[in-house]
Amino acid sequence: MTDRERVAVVGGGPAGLAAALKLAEGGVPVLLVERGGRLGGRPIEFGCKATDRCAVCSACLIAQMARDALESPLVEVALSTEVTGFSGDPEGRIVEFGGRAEAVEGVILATGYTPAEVGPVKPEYGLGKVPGVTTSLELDRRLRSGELLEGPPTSLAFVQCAGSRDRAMGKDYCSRVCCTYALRIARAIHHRLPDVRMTLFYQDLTSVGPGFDALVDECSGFMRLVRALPAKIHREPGGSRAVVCYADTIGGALSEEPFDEVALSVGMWATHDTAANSLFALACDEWGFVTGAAHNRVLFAGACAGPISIAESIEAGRVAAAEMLRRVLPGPRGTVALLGSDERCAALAEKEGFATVSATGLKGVAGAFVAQTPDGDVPVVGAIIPGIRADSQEEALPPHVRSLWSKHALERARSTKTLVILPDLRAGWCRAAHEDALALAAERAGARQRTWVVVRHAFTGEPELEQLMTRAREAGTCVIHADEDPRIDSSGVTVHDPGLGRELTLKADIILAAPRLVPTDAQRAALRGLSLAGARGHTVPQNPHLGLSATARRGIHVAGWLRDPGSSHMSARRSEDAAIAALTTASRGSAAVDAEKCAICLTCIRECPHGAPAITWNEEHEKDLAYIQPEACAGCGVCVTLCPAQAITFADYPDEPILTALEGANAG
Amino acid sequence: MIVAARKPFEEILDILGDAERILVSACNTCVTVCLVGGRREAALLASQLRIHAQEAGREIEVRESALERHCDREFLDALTEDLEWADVMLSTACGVGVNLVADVNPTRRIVPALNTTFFGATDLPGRWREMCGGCGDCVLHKTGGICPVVRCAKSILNGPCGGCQDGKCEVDKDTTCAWQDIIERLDGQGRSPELEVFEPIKDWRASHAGGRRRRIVEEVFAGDAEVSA
Amino acid sequence: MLGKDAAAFLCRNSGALVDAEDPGLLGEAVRVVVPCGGRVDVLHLLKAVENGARTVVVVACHIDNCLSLSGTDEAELRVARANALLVESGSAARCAICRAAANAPADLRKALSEVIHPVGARGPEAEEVTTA
Repeated sequence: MTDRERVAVVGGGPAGLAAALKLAEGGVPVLLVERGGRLGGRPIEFGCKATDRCAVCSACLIAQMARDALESPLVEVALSTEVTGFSGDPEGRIVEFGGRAEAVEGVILATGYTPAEVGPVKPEYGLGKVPGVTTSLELDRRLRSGELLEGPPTSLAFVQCAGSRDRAMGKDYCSRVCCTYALRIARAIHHRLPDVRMTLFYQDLTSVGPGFDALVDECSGFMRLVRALPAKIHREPGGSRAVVCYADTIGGALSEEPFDEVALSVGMWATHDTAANSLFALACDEWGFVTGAAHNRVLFAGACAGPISIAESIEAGRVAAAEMLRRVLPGPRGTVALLGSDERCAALAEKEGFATVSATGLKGVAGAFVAQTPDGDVPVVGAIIPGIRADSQEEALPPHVRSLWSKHALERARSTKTLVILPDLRAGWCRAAHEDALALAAERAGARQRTWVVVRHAFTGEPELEQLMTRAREAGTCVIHADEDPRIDSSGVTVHDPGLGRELTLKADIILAAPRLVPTDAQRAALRGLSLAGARGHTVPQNPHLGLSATARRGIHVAGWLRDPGSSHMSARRSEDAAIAALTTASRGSAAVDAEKCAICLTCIRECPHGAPAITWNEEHEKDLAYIQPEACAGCGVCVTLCPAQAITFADYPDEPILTALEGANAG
Repeated sequence: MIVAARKPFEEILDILGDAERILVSACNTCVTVCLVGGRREAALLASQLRIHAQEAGREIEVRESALERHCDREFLDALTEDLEWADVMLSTACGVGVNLVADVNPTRRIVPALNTTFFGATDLPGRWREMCGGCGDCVLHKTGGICPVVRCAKSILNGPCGGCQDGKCEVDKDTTCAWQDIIERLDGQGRSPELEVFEPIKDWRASHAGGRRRRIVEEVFAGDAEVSA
Repeated sequence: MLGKDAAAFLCRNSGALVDAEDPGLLGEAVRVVVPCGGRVDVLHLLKAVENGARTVVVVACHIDNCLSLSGTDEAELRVARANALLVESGSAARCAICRAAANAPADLRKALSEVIHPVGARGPEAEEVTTA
């Protein structure tokens, strides 16, 4: 294995770290080159947003991955080092860095982003001039260090979209993560400092992952969410506070409100690293984000390709690494079971070297899965439940309303004269519903066609969505931001438009809405049968370590809307990609049962959340004993600490050194 | 399996008295499965004893051992050396184990850490309930598998007493009336008419009321004279 | 804050990383790094006290943040059992669980101060854990 050339990973942030660790897990040595003096990229400076439970933001994973990279024997970390040369001809790929040149198998670029520098381009916000005006990142840093706890403001405002969705600035895209980021910071501050009064100024609230509606609900309980972006922030006359001047889009009144601090939620800008772009022959979009690399052994992942959350960035790094592993270590990878058919998932899996089989059930654990198919039992390396709409059940819509996802209704809707689309009506915070609504609206540019789209929030977080919104508007669509659910009856759709300050009744030939999707009975049974029904109504437990596709049971992945009911098409694809990447390599835990001591009490089987232990026939002892499947074992040690016969050992963390260390605790 | 509960710590201390060398011996069978007397629980008890001694300013030594079972002589040989060292053996096996170890080592002091309670099953992880009374004259085929000797507080054999309230035994509202359960069970199997067959008074001589019970398998029993004390 | 008579079990994904960043938080406590809060055995907690520890803290990940999913919840159950056994044996409820994340040293400082109650002057008798 050491004969193999290394893969170079450029950038030590979430995507780079995830890619490096994934490659190392696959047995491929890595050269991780980082320009800065330490690993972790931007989020290493983010603080923990937990309240009485984790906020599932994934920031803490960065420190863990940095530690793993530094400790891995297969990863060489070169800090304060830049890549200065790259030649990628068919004979080989040479990377020059820090005065050295080395042949590599390939390069994964994970060069990250730059936080929007709004100071000079938006002087009316007063960043750097008006006391108390700061950025969300700086606020986060002070939360992490404890400075905020020691010197909290009495009042705090968040101003969204600083550096995003701003045509004048040339940044007319949404940075996707800032709404969630700001609300999580606000909730974290409220948990630690309940007396701080907070207000969030926004245009639209956009989600990037599951649980956003609960986050908004929770924050609405203790802070003001105001749909207005400030026109100006100036210093309080005769004081030191920052005064926010805004026009409330609901009431219409002009307001000026002082705050101790104003945090600008700065967006994600491309780094415009022209040297790297030319070195690796990268294609970029109009905003500088990487869209393609000419060389087939140069891949890119993470924020350099566009605004992205930490969780998505980590998975993107893994997906790129899996793609690289496929090129460096080609060969069949085994078979993947798809529970519920999905052509896209099947196509992806086959591209990555997996055979696929459509299965109705799954038995066993990681390392020993058996898929039940119409043609009999098939051993598989893992299973994916794709969570596609076609497999699911639509809940009933009110009278007069047809489903946005009904082929028949769509056909009629394309050509009909007046159309009203209500993507939020039942589906709630569902980005795919918005995508499909706007895509349909954008098609209707006929002179006699009238289209209304009524939303509570206009989701803009996917790159396509902002363009779709523009095209829909240019085609004549009228988008109404309602603040209440509309009334629907035979006369049409009646909605209160806060901008106009009055009710409108929209007469429509067809009314479309996105129905709430629920699992079919078969899907429910499958999830239950796989012991995947999670707590608090989630299909999978909400835990950042599960990324975009993993479940409590290793090797079984849930993607698409089953994982996140509000997912967009892009995030559904991302979770599918993550699922397939995860099946490329398997890590192994080291808990093992001592057959001499096992009393077959079943405690380990009952307590393990991963389903790793099972009673199996032990050849040597000629009896049924507990056995822990290594590929399913997560290495947590819970079974070790509960086994009443002390029959389970843990090679990586045995008891003896722990007990020896504790003998040193004798200070009495 | 045999199910037991740990005696209150104060009582164990009382039983141990002034003993300075204590052997805590675990059993890897029933008491391991019901999470009260296996290696882990014995180790925890040993640790508690040492901590207590430290707090009380006493010097004691506690050794731990574990046997596969305490109810077969062959496994007990492993105890010999530790028993020579110990002032007392604190057994976390069931009462059966305490008896046999004491019989085999009549000059040593063997004491129980547990109160052995019942024959039971794990009806849910972490919960064991009494299922069998060891009456020696099983009627489970007549009661749909529900034991009227131990699941009924009065051990009656012909239907519920008048104290059954809302399906619960008057003795304990967390216990269902066994006879209500038996009736529902047999109803569900379409076997209600069997309930009308009168069950005569039980011959309690088959239970421990008839004296110490034994069972002999002629094929392998070599007779008392062959067994050393 | 913690003296040599304290023992700290650190999950390698939270406690150990915070400790590496700010060793002053755990002071002179004897550290034991575990792969997950779930690796902490009731026996380990009792052994710590047997060996003279007056305070035992388990620093584990937040609920819903555990790499092995339920380890941090299990750790809380181990701490509760250990305290019950300690109180029974005449000692005190010396064990506590503190939830932390690698990127929140300030949170750990606060969590530690909530479970460790300084009584009078410093010294082995001074600090007792108040929360079971």
